[in-house]
Amino acid sequence: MADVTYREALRQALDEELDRDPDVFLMGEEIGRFEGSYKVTAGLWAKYGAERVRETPISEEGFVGAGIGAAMMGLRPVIEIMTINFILVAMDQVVNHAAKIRYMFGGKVGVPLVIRTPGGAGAQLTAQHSQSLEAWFAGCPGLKVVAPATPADAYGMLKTAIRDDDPVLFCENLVLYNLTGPLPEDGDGAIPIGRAAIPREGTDLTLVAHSYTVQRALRVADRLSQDGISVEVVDLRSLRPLDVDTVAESVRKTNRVLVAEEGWSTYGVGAELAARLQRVCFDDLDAPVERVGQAEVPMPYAKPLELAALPLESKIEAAARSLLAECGL
Amino acid sequence: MAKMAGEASVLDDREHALDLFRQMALIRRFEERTEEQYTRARIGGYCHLAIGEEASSVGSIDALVDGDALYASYRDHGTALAVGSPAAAVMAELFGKESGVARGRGGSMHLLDVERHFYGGWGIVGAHLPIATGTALAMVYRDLPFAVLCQFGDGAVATGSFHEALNLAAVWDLPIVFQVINNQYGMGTSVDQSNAEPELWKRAASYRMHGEQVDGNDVLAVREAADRLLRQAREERRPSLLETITYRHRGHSVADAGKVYRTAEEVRSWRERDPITRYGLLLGERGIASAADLDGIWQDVSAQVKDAIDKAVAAAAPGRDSLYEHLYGDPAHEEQFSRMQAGAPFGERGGEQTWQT
Amino acid sequence: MSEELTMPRLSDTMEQGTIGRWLKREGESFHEGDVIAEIETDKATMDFQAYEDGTMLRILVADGESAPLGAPIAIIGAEGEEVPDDAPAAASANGDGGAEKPAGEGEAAEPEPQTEEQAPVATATEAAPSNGAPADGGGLRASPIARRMADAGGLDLRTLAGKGTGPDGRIVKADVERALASGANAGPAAPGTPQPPGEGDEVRELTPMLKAVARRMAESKASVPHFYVSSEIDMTRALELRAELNEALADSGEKVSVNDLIVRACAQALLQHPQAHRSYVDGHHVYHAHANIGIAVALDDGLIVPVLRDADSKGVRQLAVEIRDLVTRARDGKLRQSEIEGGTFTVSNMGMFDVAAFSAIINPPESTILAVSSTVERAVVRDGAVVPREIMSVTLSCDHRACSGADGARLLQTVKRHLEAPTLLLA
Repeated sequence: MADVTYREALRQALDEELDRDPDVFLMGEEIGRFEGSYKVTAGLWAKYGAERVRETPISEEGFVGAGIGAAMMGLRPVIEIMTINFILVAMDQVVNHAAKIRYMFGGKVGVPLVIRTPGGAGAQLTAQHSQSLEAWFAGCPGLKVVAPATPADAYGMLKTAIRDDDPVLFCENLVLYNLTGPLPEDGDGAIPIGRAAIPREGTDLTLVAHSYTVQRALRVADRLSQDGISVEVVDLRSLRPLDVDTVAESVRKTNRVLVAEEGWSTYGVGAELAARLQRVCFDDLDAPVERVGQAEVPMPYAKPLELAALPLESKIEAAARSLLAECGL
Repeated sequence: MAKMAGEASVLDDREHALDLFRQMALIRRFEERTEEQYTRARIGGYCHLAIGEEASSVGSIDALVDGDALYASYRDHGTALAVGSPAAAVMAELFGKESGVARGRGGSMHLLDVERHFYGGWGIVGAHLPIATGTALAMVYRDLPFAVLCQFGDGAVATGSFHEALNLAAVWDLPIVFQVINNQYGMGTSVDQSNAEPELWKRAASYRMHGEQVDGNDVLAVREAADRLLRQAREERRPSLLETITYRHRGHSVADAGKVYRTAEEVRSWRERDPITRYGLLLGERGIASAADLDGIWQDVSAQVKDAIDKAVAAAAPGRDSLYEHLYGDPAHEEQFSRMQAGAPFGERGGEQTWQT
Repeated sequence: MSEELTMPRLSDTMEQGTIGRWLKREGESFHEGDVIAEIETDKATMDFQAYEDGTMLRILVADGESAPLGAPIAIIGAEGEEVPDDAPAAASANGDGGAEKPAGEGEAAEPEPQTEEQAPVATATEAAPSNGAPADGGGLRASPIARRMADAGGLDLRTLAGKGTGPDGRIVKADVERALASGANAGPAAPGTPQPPGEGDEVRELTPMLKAVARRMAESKASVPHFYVSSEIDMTRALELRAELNEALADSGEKVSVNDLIVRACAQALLQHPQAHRSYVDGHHVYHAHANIGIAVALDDGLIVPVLRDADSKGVRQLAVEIRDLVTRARDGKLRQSEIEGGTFTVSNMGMFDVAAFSAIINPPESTILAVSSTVERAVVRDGAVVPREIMSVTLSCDHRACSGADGARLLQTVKRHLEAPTLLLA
């Protein structure tokens, strides 16, 4: 099978799930006639009609809430929030409602809802359109948060998320949409939530990432390998649940770990991993856990400033080399 | 939930007429005893009483048919009782017991009864309007002949989600009746202070939606309007906004004496228009019930509430080992989270349930 | 010794304070924590507490008067103490700058002397950690995996002190790997010159037991100040006694070894010399009530020391039975953890190997260990005549923190006496 883009992988998963289960429907701004702001839903409105590919006004709080209310009735809405930046106006619905409903009502009603939304930065979209806020949601019990980095994972995990009986925040990335890769030749291709992947094995350093940063990490690993440094890349794939076991197993092997992410490091994914690793891998560490994230400023517009703020490969590589230098490598 | 239209038809059916009285009397007695139990510290958290608002709640809920869905605000004790949830299970929820309607996880603000299509009391003002709208969307999606009744207080009208929900419902032609139970105050702020247009029902016009206002202390008037609007929702898929004017005799919550933002005279004048007294007089005038009949109902509901309290006191609290139950519902969730135990904070690594609480 | 009390800083913006009132008058004594004055700051009236016991000797700033931060406000000291003549009589009389504002212009105007004074101090402070090895392992900077690997490999990390290649001299995994590869146990590691195993050499992981032995022995040799006392013991009569006993016990199947007699002698001697039967633990001496004697047992590739508890209260026959049982189970790997703990003394007997002399490493927290060599027939002078006697060479290793040379010598002397007059062993 020919390689497909991340975007196409998502579109295929949506198409197949719409086809498989009549309770699945899509909802979001510009996902119908317009075919999606990033064209992920291209062709689906024409194929399934306005009822199943429901266009909404610019009312994130309203249609996320409506998705919740429909999910409580047993439907499986898949909501597109145009970018993760806009989810903030629906924060109450996501955190106060979707995440709480099953528990607060004693398990008597659930919310099988998926919210798809891309984060990411790098195209001079500036402060209000360049955020990676997934860690905010990954700290919230009641939610599941996934962030696949490859077309096959995007395809497989979106299917799993849609079939899941709990609310899932499905984080995409603007820069990933054009990434190409293979899809499974046969079979359903569904990938479980809560399992990290190891796209590259190594022995000197564990480099943990999710979403687009995984691609950066793989390139950094390539570059370091030219200097004889063997980097193991762990792709988290899922942030809540977080596969700590896979990361810990890797750290026990390499004794060094660097966490890279597009969001701000403070209170971020790396912060959470550092806290857990210092407990479960305390005696395995050869150096403190290191983190790389976006500079802690709102994303600036001017290109030199934007580059300075992004967790670019060069920055991840420098952090890796510095960490390894501490260890005499 | 008897199903007939119009004042005449309700009063023509004595059982139905008495049932409305019984429901309101039960709610009134239940809430009075709830207040007492709260002061005895058997009930925790917030406790919002709807004493004085019984007709607004009971009248419209009585117009629901089996299959219609109901949403309410956090002032929801009467809502649960009006749909027929057992008083003992409602009281047990307030007491935080496993036998409560939400297994003791929700408390006063989060009552529900999925079997009776009551989808909850909700704690964030205005936020359940979009959710109720989504439930109406599900009815259309599934082509069900039912409607949603979404009750909320006047405070919710000033929120953004009121606007978003009504707009979506109108744009999508959803079968939903938005009922604003206007009890005059959002906490201590009056409707006049909060709304540039204090005639709240007029907001409907912005959405080309039918809006109307009725006397919320007249249970038959509320019932008539709700019945008509719910039919319109079911049959014509047209949303509407119903404003029922009433008054909260107590403060915003048990912690609020309700005195600084309103006069004693105002409270007294509304007490004189008490919806239950008023409906009892009507039943007497029409020869439907004697004073003795009504007294009998009061004694019945008092006994029912006492029984509910006794049962709630005796009921078991949820076990500590059930702390993590009901967080996720997918059958795979344990497997999904199985690799997240390592390095978790103290108390979440399992096997440490030894600390005192 | 009297000292000055100065105006305290009781608020973040306070520049001077006013004595609201003194709660302790001249001649009055106070305790640590007592409020001795109320001081009005720019924000509030604050309690001023004493930090130690003392007596108010002289009040320099009276109630209602003000003084800048740091200015002397009173003199305190011991009860009845005289205030020195040169003590200030008032705030302005202080000559050491205490009365000046703490961040006054004077300091800003003369930055140079300060900088010059501070510079060498800063350098010295920075240099300190790498100048010498820290006093103990606790001060050593090493990564967690480096510590774990060093433990497992029996490497004393102190041998790498100051040689870590990580940040601030932290010892990291690579340092330990190099040290282990170069056999750093025998001497200090030489970072940067790793010595890989030679051709044909085989590198094997240590068994957990060998790791433990390696670690404990390295720790002991590095941290316990050993000294040694040697002696020769005439075992002729002890051997005769042993032969006699074994003949008498032949039917019972019991057997007494020379080692059993040595253990018995040691147990008796330890009770007589408490100063040689104590452990040095965290700056304290722990005197042992009972002699729990470890018997070093060599295994195919390893060493284990089962402990015979309360040896002092057991007769020779019972000792013999119990020691045989312990040694048998030690060789079969069937000892319980409780049977290899709690020793107060160890006997290491290599007599069977034809050993002329050796000294043993103390097994902490024990403070002594007796190394027993082979018994050989030698010509010795007794009562002016040369006679053949069975002579056994022994060396006692002692922890000098626990016992002195004389203590060790006395202990050894008693052991010798009991073995040379072996009826004492049966007493």
